[in-house]
Amino acid sequence: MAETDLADVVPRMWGAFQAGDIGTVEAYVDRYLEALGAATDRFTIVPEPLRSDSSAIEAWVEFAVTVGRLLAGRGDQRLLSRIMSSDDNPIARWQDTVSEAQLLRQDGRFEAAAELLAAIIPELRAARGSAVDTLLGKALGQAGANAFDVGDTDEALRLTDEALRECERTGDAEGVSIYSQNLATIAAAAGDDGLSAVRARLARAQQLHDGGRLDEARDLIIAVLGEVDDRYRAKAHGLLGMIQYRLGDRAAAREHTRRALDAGRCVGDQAAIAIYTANLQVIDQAP
Amino acid sequence: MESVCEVPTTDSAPRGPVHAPADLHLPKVFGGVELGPWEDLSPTEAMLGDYVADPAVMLVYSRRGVIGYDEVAERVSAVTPRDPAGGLTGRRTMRTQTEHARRTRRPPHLEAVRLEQDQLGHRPIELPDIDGHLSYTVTASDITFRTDESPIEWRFSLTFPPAALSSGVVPDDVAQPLAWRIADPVKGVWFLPFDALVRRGAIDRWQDVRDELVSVVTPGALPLFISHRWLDTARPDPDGRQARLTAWQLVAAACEAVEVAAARGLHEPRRKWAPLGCRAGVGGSDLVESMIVALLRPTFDDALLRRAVSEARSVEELLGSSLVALADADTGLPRLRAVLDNRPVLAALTGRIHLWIDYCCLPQPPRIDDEELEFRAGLRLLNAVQLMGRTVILLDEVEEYTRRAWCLLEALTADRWSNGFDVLSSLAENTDPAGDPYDHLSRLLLDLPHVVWRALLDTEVLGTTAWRDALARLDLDVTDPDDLPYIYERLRAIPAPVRLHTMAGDLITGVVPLPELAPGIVAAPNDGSRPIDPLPTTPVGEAPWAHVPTLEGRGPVGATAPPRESAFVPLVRWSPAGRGRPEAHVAIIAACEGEAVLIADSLERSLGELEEFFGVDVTSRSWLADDVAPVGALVFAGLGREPIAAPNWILVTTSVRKEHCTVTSMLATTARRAGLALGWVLLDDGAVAVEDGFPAAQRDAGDVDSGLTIVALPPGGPARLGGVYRRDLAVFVSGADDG
Repeated sequence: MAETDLADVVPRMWGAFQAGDIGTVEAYVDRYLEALGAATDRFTIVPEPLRSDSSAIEAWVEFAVTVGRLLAGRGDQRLLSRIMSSDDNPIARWQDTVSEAQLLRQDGRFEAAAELLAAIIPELRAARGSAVDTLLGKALGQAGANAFDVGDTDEALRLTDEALRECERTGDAEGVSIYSQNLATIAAAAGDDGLSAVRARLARAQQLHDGGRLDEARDLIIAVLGEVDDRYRAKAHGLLGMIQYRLGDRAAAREHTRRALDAGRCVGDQAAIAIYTANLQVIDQAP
Repeated sequence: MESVCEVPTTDSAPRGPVHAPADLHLPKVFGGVELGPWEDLSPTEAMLGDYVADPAVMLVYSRRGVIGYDEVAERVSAVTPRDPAGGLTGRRTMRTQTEHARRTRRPPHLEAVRLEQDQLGHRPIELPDIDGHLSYTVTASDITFRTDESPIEWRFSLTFPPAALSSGVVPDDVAQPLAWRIADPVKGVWFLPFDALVRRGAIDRWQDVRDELVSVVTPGALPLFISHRWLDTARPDPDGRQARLTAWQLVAAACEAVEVAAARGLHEPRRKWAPLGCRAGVGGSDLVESMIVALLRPTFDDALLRRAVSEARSVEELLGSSLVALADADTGLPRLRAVLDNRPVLAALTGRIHLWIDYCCLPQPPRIDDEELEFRAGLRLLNAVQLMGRTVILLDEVEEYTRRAWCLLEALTADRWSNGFDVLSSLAENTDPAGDPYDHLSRLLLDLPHVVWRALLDTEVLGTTAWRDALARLDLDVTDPDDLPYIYERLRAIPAPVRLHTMAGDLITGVVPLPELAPGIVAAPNDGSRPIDPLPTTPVGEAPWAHVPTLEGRGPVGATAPPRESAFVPLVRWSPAGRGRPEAHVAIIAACEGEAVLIADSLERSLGELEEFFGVDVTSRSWLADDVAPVGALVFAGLGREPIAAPNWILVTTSVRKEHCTVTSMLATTARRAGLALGWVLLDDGAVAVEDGFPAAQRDAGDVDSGLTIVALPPGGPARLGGVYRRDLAVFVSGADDG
């Protein structure tokens, strides 16, 4: 049977199941036995419109299990074993949970996503292996972001810091970059980094630059340079280098961009290294 | 005259009884379409997976048991092919998006930190050579490049875009206010000076402010039409909050105008990068730019600008905080008055803003003496007042705003006629990108004008809906029902939307004309996804009959002249007139079937003039609808292919479709490759153009080996019931899916 026909059949089965009409579901299974047994994804993936409704998700899972059992009763184990293997295989279950939590997060259901992750993070912490290496950092980072979005900055700091350390341990450069930034944001929100004023002035300098107010931007950064720590040194020198370049002072532009590059290398900031290397080339090649 | 394709037929003929369910607003044949599994599905359920309904099923599913256009739009969106750019956005879809934005909104202090963090990313000076596929996104302030291969983002402020964007940069100043050209007072037109609003701290009724109103806007002043929702049937702004929000936000915009002018140069124009339409260099919103053009340039010199900058910077920190919170805390506006009292340059600057607010600028009931005449005169000129300056929308809830009939009329007028609108928000969260009401209104206004236009066509052209029912189906509220006839009449006066919004799920219906190479043999395109060929044309001039038809000229509301019957038919053939002139086919490409009928009717009434103008004898006419919002009535609701033997084709469409519509380009490219000569009628410009060789006595040899397939196609073949989606058009036209 064509895939497009199956697209019609599954909603009909779902409608019958919701109406409590298992006989009709069974009739569809009998009629489209082979096609349904081969299309496990149509049942194991919860349809997007239902994902915002936990009772609907639950109903869908029941529906999938029912169809799986009906198929199994007719000799086709594929759907049922697919559903059950997810339960029995912890890695598959963790992966599914992280994916499901991500979907909930995208839909703004931060607390529901946090609950899902809270259930698997202790298991991940206790496990070992390459799959765990990949998943634990993601789960922690996502949980930290959820905590931030519901206003729990203490929990957000704790989880994101652990995510960062996990990514450093496993050599996940992208994770290190993302969670470093997240950590800085959360720390600032929590008022724990002692650098709120520095951050605010650097952000303001960037805004002044973007508004074409270059002299003011330059003066503001020069005033703040002595207060920045390693986290913001690359940004401060990099922005000052760019401003000096636009103001026509190539020597100062080169000097500050070099310092930005060095600061980026010091903390392993790949974006800083790539961007300030490119900026240095532009400055050196300027007529 | 011979008409064909009057009744759509289908190669999969519907089963069951054929009846004409009037509420479907579809041809009778749709009475036999079975919905099958779609019958009892809600739109949410219908979105299960990525299921897509057959077009005929979609048309019935979206209309059965449904009255409101919004509800039809929601159902259409639920079962048509998904588009990466998002689907048809009606009020219901937008409501879902708003709820999502509310759920994902962070607490304000965290959002502030996140926005701060956003400024702390590393910024490049130039875009280096980067390996991999480069993609970009543009916002109001930045352009960001990235590749799939690297997490590094190359983000540039639009003030300092990379050199790669410098080649297409053009001046982009906003226009001077039209009001400057009107030297004499116009009866019924009044404006409230901004300083009067600040002095009063409230929106007061016309009778109470009449001595302060001005009737003429001189050079150096800026008229702003304030579109807002009345919060009370007796007084629009009972606690003065709208007055406070308007006043504080306009002062902030004036300060920004001063900064932009200082950074860019007082007389330097705003610039944009033409290919993307984004700003290039220092610039502000359209409202800010209007203030530069209307308030600063005519009266300021560099010295005065420096003083204004000094004053603006003295309140920069104050205005940098939440303007909504500032306004909410300033009942009666004493604080704003104090700010302006100490800043004479800013006070003089903002004092030259003239506001049009209905409650202040039209006599309010009870009206005595000649106030009723004054009121009627002013009401008649509402659109004109919007055209005289800029429209500023004071926006709270987008859905509520667009549900108010007056507000919708004002927004659509601004969107179609007066160079857009600016939004002042009355929501504290307006700084949150996820919940920005401006974005929501802009998205909604991409499709809402199309939905309204279909409602008007249903009433005025297709005659399927009475005008009051059309307004009810648009779900519009109005405080005084007596206003409805006027509102309807003004909506009717707005011409067809010209903004092109196309999606994979556009419904294509009508007839695709294909060049006939020999009897029963046609050339069909086989590369529908190919980029648009250049279209070298020579402008011939303008013609009155070539302007986009409006509904206004079709007679009084409720008594409009129906179109001639032939206009409802998507292909009409005429016998040659025997004048010996080259024969021509007229191909209309419209936004929906109602519009196609309107254009066909209008052109057929002027057919003789068109023939004279082009020097041809028109022997056939086809229409094709490319409908992004198939929510209105359909008279044909099928898609056919027909051989056309004429050596000249005249394509009738809009200028934006000529440049950007792949359906239009497919017809033009096919015709050109088959050796036909092309003429163009561009309805939005009223312009006529021809390509080299037009008119031709006979078809040229062409280049039929390039991108064309030779197929057998006898005339009068069956049409595909329901039409086809845009994504499937190329396959349908080439005949690859026949059988």
